[in-house]
Amino acid sequence: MPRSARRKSKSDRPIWQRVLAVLLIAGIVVAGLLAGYLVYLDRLITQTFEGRRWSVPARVYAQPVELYPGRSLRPEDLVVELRRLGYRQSSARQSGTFVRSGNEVRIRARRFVFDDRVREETDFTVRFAGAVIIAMEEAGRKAHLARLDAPLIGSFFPSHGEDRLIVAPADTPKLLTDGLKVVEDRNFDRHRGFDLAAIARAAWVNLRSGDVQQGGSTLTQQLVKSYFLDNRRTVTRKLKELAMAVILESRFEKEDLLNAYINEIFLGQDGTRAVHGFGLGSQFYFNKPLTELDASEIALLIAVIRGPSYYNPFKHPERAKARRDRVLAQMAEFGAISEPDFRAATAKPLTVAAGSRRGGGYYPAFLDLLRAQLAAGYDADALASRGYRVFTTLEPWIQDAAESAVNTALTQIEKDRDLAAGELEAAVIVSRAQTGEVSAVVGGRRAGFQGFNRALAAKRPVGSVLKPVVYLSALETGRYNLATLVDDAPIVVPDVHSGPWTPSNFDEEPKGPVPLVRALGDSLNLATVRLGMAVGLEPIARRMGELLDLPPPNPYPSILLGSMDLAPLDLTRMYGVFASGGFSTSPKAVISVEDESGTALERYPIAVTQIAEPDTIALINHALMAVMLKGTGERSRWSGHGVAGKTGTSDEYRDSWFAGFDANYLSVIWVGYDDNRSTGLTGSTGALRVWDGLLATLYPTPLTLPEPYGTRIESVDYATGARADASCGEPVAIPIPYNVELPLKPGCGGTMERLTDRLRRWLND
Amino acid sequence: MVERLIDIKTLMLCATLVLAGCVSAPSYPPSQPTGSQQPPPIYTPPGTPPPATAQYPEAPPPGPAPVPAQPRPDPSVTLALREESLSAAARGDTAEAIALIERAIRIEPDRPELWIDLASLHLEEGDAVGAEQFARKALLYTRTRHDLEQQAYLIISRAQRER
Repeated sequence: MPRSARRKSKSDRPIWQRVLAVLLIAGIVVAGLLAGYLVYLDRLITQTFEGRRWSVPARVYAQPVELYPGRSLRPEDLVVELRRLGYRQSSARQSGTFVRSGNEVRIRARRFVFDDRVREETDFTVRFAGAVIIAMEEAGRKAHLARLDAPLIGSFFPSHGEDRLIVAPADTPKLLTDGLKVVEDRNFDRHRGFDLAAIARAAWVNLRSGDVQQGGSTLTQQLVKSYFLDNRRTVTRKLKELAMAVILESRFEKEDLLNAYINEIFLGQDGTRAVHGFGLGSQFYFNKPLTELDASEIALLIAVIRGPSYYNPFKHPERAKARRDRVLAQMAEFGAISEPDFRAATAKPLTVAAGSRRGGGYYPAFLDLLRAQLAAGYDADALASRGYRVFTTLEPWIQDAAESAVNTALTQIEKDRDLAAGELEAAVIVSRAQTGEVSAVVGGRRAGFQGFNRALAAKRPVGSVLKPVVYLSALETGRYNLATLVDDAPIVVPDVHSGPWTPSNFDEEPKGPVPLVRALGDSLNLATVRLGMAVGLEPIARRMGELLDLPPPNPYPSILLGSMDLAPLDLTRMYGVFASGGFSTSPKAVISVEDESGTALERYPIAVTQIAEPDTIALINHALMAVMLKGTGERSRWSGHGVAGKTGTSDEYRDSWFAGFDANYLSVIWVGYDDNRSTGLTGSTGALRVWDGLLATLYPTPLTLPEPYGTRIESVDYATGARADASCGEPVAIPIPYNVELPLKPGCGGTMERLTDRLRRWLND
Repeated sequence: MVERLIDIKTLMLCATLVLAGCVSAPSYPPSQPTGSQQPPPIYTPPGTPPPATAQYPEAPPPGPAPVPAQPRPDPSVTLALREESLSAAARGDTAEAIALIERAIRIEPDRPELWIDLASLHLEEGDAVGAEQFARKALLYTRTRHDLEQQAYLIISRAQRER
């Protein structure tokens, strides 16, 4: 008591002053904390804003279609390609339009930045005669060559799923910015981040309707909200959002904020990919650039902002159209569009793009290969954020043909053979024969879905599809030619590991002495084993390793019949050596990567390495052509079209394989069940049917094989290896060394007597 | 009469020997460079007219094809790309020049001139290993074109020397 009295006497201040002082100090502390918090918010929002502006996933492009006189292409094929790029038939001569009239297609091509140059907007005229381009013009002048735009096929969006396609203010239609302001934020040009009038109006409208019809958030507030993806409706969150909006407004220009909004706002979900921004939104919903949208399309994009899944135009077209029309009405009411435009736009049905490939939809199997090849040079983070452009080897028309060939063939096979529908699986890789560039990858029957990629990852027993290496090794010794007889008779191979091995033929029947060309063509196991044992397991295993670019398999006798587990990608490498005349190439998916500014970061040039004599490869390819003419590939509808190939069937019909090529493209195809049960299919009743369907689109260019030095083309009886013509045998035209004399097939008579024989007789007279 | 017959026989034997000589020509170049002759410059410096190889004297067809061949690209197509590639190389932009030739190869993979161009460009870039491989690739398509065959062999010998 005395102490307090003393203190009281020391300070004569009344109690209210002391309270005030405490409050003042508390106020200063709170203000300090608040200021600190605001500084924190400021840094957070500014960094986020700046950071987002530059975080753009890498975009992936397929190969552009090349147009040139002499190319086989029908006008309707060109139209398909144009539609794939989102070009529309219209005589308006606007960017991204075309007109087809009979044998002529006139295109108003968009500006496009290729990996090597920029093409400004221009006119192309393409003239056809039947299924061939005969003449072209660019901007009224004769042209040799034209490229369509490179199709966008995907992007390396980050693991949180946000994908976007940045649009600059210059590429943003005025109607979009006007429409956004009208519908979402009428005071945008004036307010400082928040709009009390709008909040009050929204509250009133919502109160009256008993529903959330309007939000009072400004575009800036929505932008902030979108950055932090927080949908909790709490007062503190609202206040924080408000503070950040005010900070953003004080720090950045309105135009930057609007542009950020246009590139940021969430517009839809596509599997694991979240579609952000109007640039990607336009591609996703309409498959064309934002600059080409009409009023009804812009209105639809604005309409879905409010609820991308509720107003999803693919799933709820009526709901989406009603909201779109409401947006159009508001746009008309506030003068963003004219009354006639409003009427025309509301009369239009929804024009959303069909199909699963909207806006650079997916080729997931090909992208797997691409990702693997890019992994060496780029980390996932750089690909997801730096705005790179990746130019790839994919050819969408071939990819589509491969996917549809898989579906048609498998469905038909299941029907024909009474198999459970939808269970057979397949994998396909199509590549350019001379360069190894991969044109298509099908990883399974449901190709549009990310899933197990059988083309790259499924290692399965390959069977006879490996046999050509045995024959290559034999021919490389110089001791054999394609007509050399080898005995297809039972053989017992002493195997050091699992006791003696007695292979048998597919049909269990030994065929006796057969020429090499038939032993490979009919895929005779006994003859192949006999040949392989004569050549030696070590060199054959080594050669297999070299052609596959893998460690050589253990030299067990069973490798002669293909007891190796390989993926279609491995066989693509191996058959690439045959298809390219003896050169090894790495299946390649990337052409170049460039940075945001269009500067090439890296090119991936073509690389080839000769690993076999072209002459020996020509012999093998003659034999692989005989497979298609007389052997296990005989039933192919492309049998007489100058193609080469080999079938393969693993034990108990578990795997059906086919590898085939013409002068331009190599395809490797696997068909089987995921659970490894028997399919009952051989290579020719399974995988070959997929190839047959694929080639209907990828029409074959016949192989023109060189005649190896020191050989002549001889008409040889496929069954016996003797000389014969069509009147007395089943001849195949194959190169035979000059120093080898073939007997005449009995019954083939005088017409088959060779000129040299006659000459020799005459000289000896 | 008999004497004249023998004369013809002798002539034909000679002809056969000549043919055999052609036939035994090596399919592979010697692994070591032979002779000391300087290979001609592969790329013309800017300002000089393009080399004669930029013309396409059409080779005779390689015998009857089994089926009607597909239409071929008009020769002007890849020629145009080669000319662009030449000028890119003249500017010193070898990467661009290579990209243009690769584009042409996608259109016409069996045209030997393109592989020879690619080989020359890789050689110019210092990629002797690649240059040799592309020249070897060109040899797949030069059997009826001895001028090009010779060019390819020259690149191979230069590449082997530079390796």
